[in-house]
Amino acid sequence: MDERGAVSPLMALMMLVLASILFVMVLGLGQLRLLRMEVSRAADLAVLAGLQELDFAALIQGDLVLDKAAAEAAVRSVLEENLEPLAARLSASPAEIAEGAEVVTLNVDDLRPYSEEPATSPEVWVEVEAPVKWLGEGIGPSTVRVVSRAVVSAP
Amino acid sequence: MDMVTFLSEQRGAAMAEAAIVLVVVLALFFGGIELGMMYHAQQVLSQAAAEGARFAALYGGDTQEVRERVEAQLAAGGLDIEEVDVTILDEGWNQRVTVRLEMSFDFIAPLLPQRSYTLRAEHSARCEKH
Repeated sequence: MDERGAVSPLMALMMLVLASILFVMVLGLGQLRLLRMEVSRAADLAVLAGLQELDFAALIQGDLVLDKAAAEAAVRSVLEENLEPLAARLSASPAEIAEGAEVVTLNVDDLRPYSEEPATSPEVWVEVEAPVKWLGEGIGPSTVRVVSRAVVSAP
Repeated sequence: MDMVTFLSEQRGAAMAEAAIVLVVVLALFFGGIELGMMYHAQQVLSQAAAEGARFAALYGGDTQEVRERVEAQLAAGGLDIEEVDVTILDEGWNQRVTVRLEMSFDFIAPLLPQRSYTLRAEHSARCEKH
């Protein structure tokens, strides 16, 4: 019985290289996906905080009106607080990412981004772009981008 | 059988190769499963922390209800709540409220180095409860 190496050395080497590439890709993409979800949760909590900043003078009159400057500040600060625990996996500082995020605050009849439709109640939007370290220092630069929105629903 | 004949024998080569290949394949297999479980645990921790932060913002800081809410999320994700450290930091109305979760994850896949990793998740919200 002669079975002169059922697995040829070339085949073995190829399989090992392919399996390693696949494994690294799965690891890296898993990491990236995990990070995206965490950034997305950060954005969700940030817009909810922004929506709390209502104009008290208008509220007394019974109107729901956002204090736009305060809302934007709240979004950025909560976003930064939520990105801080992820700092080791991001290649920009949480403060830079929070500063660079695009925040849109809408009162009734202000036009929404993308659709240009008028808002029917106060809304807060945020678009976060976070550059990430992929697989440690990374194979190449990657960015995680999320959009989040919170809306006041009429009581 | 002299030495030259013995060394040029080819019987059993397939079995020896199979043994080597099997070790590598099994290590990748078990390692993959274990890593999947680790990602899952991290995911559940993060979700529970975010949910806990939102809940704490609505219904007040470090209370039994908030802890129960966090624990319900962890249990729903299949984690052992006994093994997760829950820290809730509350700075009062319109200030930061933070839920921090920490657990140690033992990497126990066979054929690979055994060690334990610390998984952490932390999320913050603005406290809305007076």
